[in-house]
Amino acid sequence: MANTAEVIANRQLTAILFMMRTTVVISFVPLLTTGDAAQDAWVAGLIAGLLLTLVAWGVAGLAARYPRLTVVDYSRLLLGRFLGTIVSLVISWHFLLIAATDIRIYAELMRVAFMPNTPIWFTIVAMAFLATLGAWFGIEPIGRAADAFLPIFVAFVALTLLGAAPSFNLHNLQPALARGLRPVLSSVWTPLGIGLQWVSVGMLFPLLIPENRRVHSVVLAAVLSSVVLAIVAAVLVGVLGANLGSKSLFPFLKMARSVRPTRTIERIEILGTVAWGLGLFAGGSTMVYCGSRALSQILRIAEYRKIVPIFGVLVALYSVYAHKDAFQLVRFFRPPGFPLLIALTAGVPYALMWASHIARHLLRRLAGRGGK
Amino acid sequence: MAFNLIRALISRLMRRSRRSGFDASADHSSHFGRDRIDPGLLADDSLDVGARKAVTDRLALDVRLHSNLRMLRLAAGPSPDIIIRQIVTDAGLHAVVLHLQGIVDQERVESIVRALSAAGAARAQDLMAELGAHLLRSSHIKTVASFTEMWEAVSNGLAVILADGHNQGLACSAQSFKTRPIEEPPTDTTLRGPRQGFIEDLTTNLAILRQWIRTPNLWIEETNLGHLTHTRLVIAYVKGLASEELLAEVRQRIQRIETDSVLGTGPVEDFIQDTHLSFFPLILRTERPDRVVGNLLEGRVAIMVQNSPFALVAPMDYGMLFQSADDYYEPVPIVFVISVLRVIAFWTSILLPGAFVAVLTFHHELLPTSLLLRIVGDRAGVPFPVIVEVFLMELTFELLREAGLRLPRAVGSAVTIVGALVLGEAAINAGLVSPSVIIIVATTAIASFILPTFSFDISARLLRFAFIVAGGSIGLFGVEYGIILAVLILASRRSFGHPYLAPVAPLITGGWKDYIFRTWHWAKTMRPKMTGGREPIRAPRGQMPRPDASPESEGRQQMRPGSQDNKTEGQ
Amino acid sequence: MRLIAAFAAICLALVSTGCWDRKEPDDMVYAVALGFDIDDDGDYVAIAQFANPVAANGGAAPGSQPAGLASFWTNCAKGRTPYDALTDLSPGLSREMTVSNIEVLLISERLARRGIAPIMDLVARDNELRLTVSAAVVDGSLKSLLESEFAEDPIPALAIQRMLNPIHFIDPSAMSPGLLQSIVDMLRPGQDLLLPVLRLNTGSDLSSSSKSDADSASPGNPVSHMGSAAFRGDKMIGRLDGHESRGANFARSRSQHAPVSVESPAGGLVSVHVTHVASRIAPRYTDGDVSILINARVEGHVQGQTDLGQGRSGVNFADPESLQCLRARLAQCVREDIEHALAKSREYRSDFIGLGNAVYRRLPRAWRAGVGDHWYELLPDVEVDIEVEATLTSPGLLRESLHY
Repeated sequence: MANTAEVIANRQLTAILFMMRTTVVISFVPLLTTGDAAQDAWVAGLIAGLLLTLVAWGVAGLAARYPRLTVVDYSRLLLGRFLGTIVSLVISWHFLLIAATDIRIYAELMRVAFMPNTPIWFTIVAMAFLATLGAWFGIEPIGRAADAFLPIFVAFVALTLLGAAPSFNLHNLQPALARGLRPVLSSVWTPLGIGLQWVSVGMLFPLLIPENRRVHSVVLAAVLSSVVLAIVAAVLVGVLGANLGSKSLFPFLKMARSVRPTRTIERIEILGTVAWGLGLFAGGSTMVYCGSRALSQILRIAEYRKIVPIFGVLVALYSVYAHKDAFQLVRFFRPPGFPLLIALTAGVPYALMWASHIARHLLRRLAGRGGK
Repeated sequence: MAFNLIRALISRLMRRSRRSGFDASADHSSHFGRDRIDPGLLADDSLDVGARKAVTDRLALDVRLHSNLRMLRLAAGPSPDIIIRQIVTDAGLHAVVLHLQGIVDQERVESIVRALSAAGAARAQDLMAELGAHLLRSSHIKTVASFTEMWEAVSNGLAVILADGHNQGLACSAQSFKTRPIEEPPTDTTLRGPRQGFIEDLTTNLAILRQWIRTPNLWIEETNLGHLTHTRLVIAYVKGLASEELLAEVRQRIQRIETDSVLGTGPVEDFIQDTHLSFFPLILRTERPDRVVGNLLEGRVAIMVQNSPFALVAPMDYGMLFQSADDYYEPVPIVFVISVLRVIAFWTSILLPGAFVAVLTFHHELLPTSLLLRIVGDRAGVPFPVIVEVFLMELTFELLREAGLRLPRAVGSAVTIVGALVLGEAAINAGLVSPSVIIIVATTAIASFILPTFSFDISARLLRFAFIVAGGSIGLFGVEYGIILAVLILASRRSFGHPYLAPVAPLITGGWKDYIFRTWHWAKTMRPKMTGGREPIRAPRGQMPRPDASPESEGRQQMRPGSQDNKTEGQ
Repeated sequence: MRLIAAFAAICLALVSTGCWDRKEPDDMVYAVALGFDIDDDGDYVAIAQFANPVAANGGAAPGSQPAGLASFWTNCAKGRTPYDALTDLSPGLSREMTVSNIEVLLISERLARRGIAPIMDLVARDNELRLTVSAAVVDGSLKSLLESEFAEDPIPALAIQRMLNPIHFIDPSAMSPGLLQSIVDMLRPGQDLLLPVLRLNTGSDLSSSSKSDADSASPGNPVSHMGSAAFRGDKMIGRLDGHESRGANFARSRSQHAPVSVESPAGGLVSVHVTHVASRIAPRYTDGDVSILINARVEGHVQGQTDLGQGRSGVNFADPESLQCLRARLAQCVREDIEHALAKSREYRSDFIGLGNAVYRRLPRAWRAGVGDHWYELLPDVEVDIEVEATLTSPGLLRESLHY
């Protein structure tokens, strides 16, 4: 009963997607650290946001054409059984990748900034366990928890930005766009690649209520998170300067650590870290849930909960062993490797599916007209 | 061998024996067919209580009076409070008036006896008819045909008249038991509200409810629970407002209960709540009628049990933990501030010791330097690690608190206060704990007293210890982990189908008007969507007090009862 | 259910065996100030000032502490890199050292002249050190400065930190709002660092500044700040005195409160307390030449005058002409300060005012076209115009001067 009757409100999906994206991008701010945008990082953020909105529209739009099917179903429908199953498996791998990488980044933060002696597998296993537990309970409690956490998340990020505001110096953001658009564009690709998180829409779309605002909610999440990203990038550069900002491993944390809002309120980095943990839970458990659902659909297992522990263990293992150290993690995200990987494994299948859908639609219209 | 047959018969009877359904006055003997059973079976001392019940459930009243009396003595024993008044009527019939001493009004029994002795009917059936139709002045009369019915009537305080020659008796009301007066419940007091609380007598409690909700749509259903205690249980709801699914769920859970005793609402709560492993209460327990009534009017269901002043209200959500009756009688801005304070106090009382331990053990860099040096300086020489210190002090405080509950009231509060002071001071002087830990523990304790719902206090204490362990083992990461886990588990809980964290999660903005804090009464135009969704509009809009309303036109006519009815009903 | 039990078992195991990163406060010693020096062999010397919380709390703990325990103590060690020197402090300590609560970072002049980049790298990279520390260059013996006692603060690091971050500065030359500003300044193109300079008061200074002679054997305040140090890149290149630092801060809009003495139209001097400075640096590029306009707006109020007494009436504040004259003279004073700072900037070829950064921000194409590469050669010859607008907000609480 729980399998078929689970529903999640549009607003909750917006909250989940928003928090999921915002945590990753405020953690190591790929706008600054993976490209050459320097003080124009906020422009890169806006451009990435625009492109992400189009991507979100594309993903949600395709899902809306098949409102009761998940991506596993319509990929098989549109691309044939063999190719569709391959695409579904790749998308399941995406869920694994996102969950594992997000958890890994958080664990790296813990190790570098707070608890250097704690072995990384401990943090990873703890967070993976939490995500698995969330997925086990189902998407409804995850959605409700996301509803409960969203105000805290937004408040903490806003408070951190406010605390950094006195140290903000507009001169750090100048000269704006002096080097032209090319350096700015170099910073756009990785944040866009991180938009891979939106493939979760493929699995969650049929569960959304009310039905008429589904696409709207998915696109809204993209817009909001991109705006927040641009603001964070702007504040970061204003406080830390382009040089220090782009060279830090976790610029947001660095900024929170380097400012002293008042004489008594000093150490505000805990706010950002707590917010990050909350967002990581929302995102991680959603990914484990989507992955388990997808795998259970591909393997034709009725109850997805049987796969949840297995998926959780896979996430933990991948997270621990896929990257050897922080250096490799940073390299993983650099363009052109990361964006290209995402473009090939997610962009191409979706493009193919859209093409197939349009072709079928046209054929049906032609057939309809010919039949008359 | 005969005995084995009897045993076999009794065990077969036990399997078929059923406890009573909702209609308590049904004739039980008709369920089991016509085969009669000898009450002499009850003379066997080796029968256990289940077997005895199986026998007495099947006993029907006999035509002969002396065999009925024998049945009574065999079933109920030689109890001195069963008064059997034998009478010969003016027409020469032998009759008996049975009652239980202590729960009847002696004068009314005497008038029953007088009426009985003055009856002129010659046959027993006519005697019963005459009594029922003319002579008895009791307000409530019913016939009893089986032993169970007779005993139920007697134990409810009715006097039963049995006549020789008729196999049915007549039960007339004569109740008068001692109950305590209606006073304000000690655990839930208000400053401006009514000083009413439920008492142990169910009839009085129902009467209080009826006085609050005078629409005929307040429906009450009754049943008996417990094979040995036959405790009366009622559910109350507003028909047409409470959802039928909720009612069906409540009824189904109650009817599933099979137990031998129900001592108050605690056991009922255990049986019917959604999950037994919950730290947070899933059903509200309250003694105040105004809280129960308020919830009934939002579409919830109240469950009340004989001998318990506490009523259960289902479904419950998280916000009801923070509501106190006072919130409805104080001005809204004050209520808002105090409600915010309550929520902060609640989370402080759970998280503060854990966060303190976490920061001092793992995250020294989070404290400003002067604060850190002050705390560390005060701690110098304390032989325990921070987590052990906090644990010890929390444990000591819990001991003090529990001890204070058991001591007589005159001494209890003094002992706890003095004990806390002296203990804290002595511990600091001995160098066993540091002053900052004492402050943390004291603040936590004070914050935990702010919660209006007492029953939650215990689970909050357990949560606090869990957070201390989490904070002491992995620092603030552990505390955050615990928070996420707690919220996740809360979010997955449902109370009778109602998500526990609603309307926070899922976010239902309409429900915020009367959640942890409330808005003005004139602003509450809609009922909460989840429980009162059947009749969403509570009141028309636009009732904010306005100085420009014209009193002359509207206030000219004098008020009469019933003049309000066509304004607010059915909108 | 089993999952929960397993999780609980893990938790209990953690508590009982202790965790990896657990640091009991009793096992730690807190460094409150850190100083770096370099010796003749090129080894870095790290000097740390540790707090003794028990004595620092003034005996608030139960009376089992021996009297006379110092509230702080210092230790120093050598190493080939700054981190080496820092960790080399540990063998001399009975507890584990933590630098997460450092309040001030002091750098000796010798190390500053060699280059502070390795120190900055350590501070930015380390997970315990923060950029909120206040930094200063020390003129004199770093060790003695860290060992000197302050009267009002048992822990000197806090006193030094307050000295470097006063709420209302009287002497704006020592403005150091955290190392973050300094590093950001250093890393900006066309801008150089300016750090305050601290100096230990030697005996001769003490006798002149102490007020009461009878009991005060101990110094009230053994350290004072004397101007700033100008850097080029990461190397210190010269010193600025009080007036020049003030001028530099005027030009950078960074000072808030400064006393300026202007010549009174009625003779003598008038003290003006400058409360607000806002300046703009506007570069212009004409015919391949860069010229810069520094436009400063100052606001102040009158705090006193010297030319008073019998027969002398002082300045007539009701007279608009006198006021105008005062304003002009105030502007002139400020301009002189800025000019002195500019002169020093040109002399040292250290652009601490940020002229180059203004060109980089406002004329990015010119900067890229070659100005940026040669800025330090161009700096001495760049034409700079200084315009100062001065406003006097109020005469204080006296409307007119008193007659004697």
